[in-house]
Amino acid sequence: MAASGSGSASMAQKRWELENRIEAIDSIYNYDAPQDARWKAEKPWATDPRYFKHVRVSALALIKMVMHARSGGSLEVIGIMQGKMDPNDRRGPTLIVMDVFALPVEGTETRVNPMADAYEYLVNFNEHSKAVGRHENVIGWYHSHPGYGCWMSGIDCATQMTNQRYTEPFLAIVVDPVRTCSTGKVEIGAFRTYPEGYKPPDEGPADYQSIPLGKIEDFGVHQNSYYQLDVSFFKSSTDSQLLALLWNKYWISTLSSSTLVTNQHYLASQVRDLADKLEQAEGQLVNANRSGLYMGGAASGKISAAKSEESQLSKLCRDSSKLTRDHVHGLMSQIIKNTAFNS
Amino acid sequence: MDSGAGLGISLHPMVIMNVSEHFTRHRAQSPPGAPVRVFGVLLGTLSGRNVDIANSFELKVASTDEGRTHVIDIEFLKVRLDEYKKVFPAFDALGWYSTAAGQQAQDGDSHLHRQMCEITESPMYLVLDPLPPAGTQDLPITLYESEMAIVDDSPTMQLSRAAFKIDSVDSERISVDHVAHISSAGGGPESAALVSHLGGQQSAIKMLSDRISVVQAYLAGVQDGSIPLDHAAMRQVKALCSSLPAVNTANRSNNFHADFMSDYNDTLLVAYLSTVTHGTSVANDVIDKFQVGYDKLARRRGIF
Repeated sequence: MAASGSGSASMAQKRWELENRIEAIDSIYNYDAPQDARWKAEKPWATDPRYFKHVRVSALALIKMVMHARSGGSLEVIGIMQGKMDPNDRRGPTLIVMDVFALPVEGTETRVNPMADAYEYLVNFNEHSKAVGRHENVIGWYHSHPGYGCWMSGIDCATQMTNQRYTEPFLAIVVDPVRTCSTGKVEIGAFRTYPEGYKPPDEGPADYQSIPLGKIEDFGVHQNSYYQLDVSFFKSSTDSQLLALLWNKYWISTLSSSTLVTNQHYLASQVRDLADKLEQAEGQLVNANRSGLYMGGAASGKISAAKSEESQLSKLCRDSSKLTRDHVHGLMSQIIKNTAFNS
Repeated sequence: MDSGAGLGISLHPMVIMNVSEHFTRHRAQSPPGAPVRVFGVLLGTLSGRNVDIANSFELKVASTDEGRTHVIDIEFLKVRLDEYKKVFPAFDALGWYSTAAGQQAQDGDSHLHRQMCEITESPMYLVLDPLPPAGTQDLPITLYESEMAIVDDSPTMQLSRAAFKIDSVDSERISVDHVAHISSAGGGPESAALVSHLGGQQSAIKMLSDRISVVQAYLAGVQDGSIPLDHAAMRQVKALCSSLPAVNTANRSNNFHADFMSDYNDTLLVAYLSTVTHGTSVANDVIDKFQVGYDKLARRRGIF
């Protein structure tokens, strides 16, 4: 895709296109209430459990979510997203998140419906938002998974399922602030659950992600009761102008921060988690071998056991590669700086 | 009375994004061509002389007198403030913001400023020009702080410009970076992480080298007499140069070198461990396959 041909004319052309597209994007900030109500009344999602396939998140909403998630530290935080739907997007039916606000609930995984506690707050806040020109309704909720990746736990699925039954369209977003900081890339996932009893078509392994040992059981059980939506981001023309100017002040912090130092703790815990998983895998491996020896006849059973074992080991390999990658990225920037400033 | 000197004001990018979004939203919702001005409250923390502006929210303002006088809905503000305090208990109202062309305080603004004094004792005022003229290099933001001055024998509140710096926490920096260099795909493939990582480093170093070459060009110009000598600028250049090197790294036995090497070795070790894990996995694979083949052989021998 990289158009490396850099004739000044083609550059100007590209620039023009870019600016124009951004101008067009600004119309997204307008809210057409009757239109939205009409689309909602049609309930197009009722017939197709995977109706919505894309999510567009505004730059502001993304920054707010990540900031709020980070402020919670190792506790999970919960908030509400405001937005609308667009069935006619060129990439298919899309949910658009315009803005988010935090809820005064500090969540733990034990709470059944975290939003119930703050329901009054939610309704009031939303009413007040409308008074200052934010007309979009509640479109979903977000919460954080500090350090253990973006996926839906059993509790999350139950919450989401309830909301999808009564307040469609509804979306769930999970942010991982700890991994965001360690990888330098925003870790975010958008999810919707299937209706109860719906059997999703077998679609092979989804994008693999590493889950800490303590959470792996919870992850596996509910894996098939929800699906992930594509997430993209948008910003207004004013935003992009300001962001470009912001970068003029910003480069210093890029140079002066080191991910190796700020994420020392997280990286160490990742190594430890890997060690635990390896130990567990080893135990299972030994068991499988022994049972294989004694029950020589049950070869087929043994092979299938070995297969699952293999995948566990190869998963561990991927985890370790990912961890190495994070490390190497951090070190690379240190080396670059070392050569730039110390030689 | 120089009250600005001792106050360390830091502004978070999120506030800027918030104001920008507020403005864009209003512009999109009002008929084209209509003048748009938005107002809001700045939130943040105040500790000692350090002011940290970290968040903001919109205000309900009634405009009269053809948009020249504005009246804040104080009740609404208080309710809203309470809502924010429930979630971010550390935050207080620090002042207010609005948008204006030329990033200048407007005529009617002192009236609004006095209303804000009901909420906080000495409010700050941030003006942002959402449509800066082309070629602007600096952020189109002006920050004012309140200052008491005696005019005609009575104390009057006046606005004076205050210096501020952009401050951000790590997660904020990453997400701002993310939206600044927007990729249309949210979670790109793994290779994209490396590209964006190196790209960020590269553009930061380029920025630094650009700045150094500006200073260099200036010094060269002064030397051959094409630029008049400015003592203040020269003193700044001198101060900068004499603070270098920040860390003495020429001496190999110092702490920096030891720490750097230990980081380096840690990373090598992690890479090594990961390679060992890979090796184990492959070996395990081979053994399993071998066993399958060997088992068959043994069984055949037993039957015959």
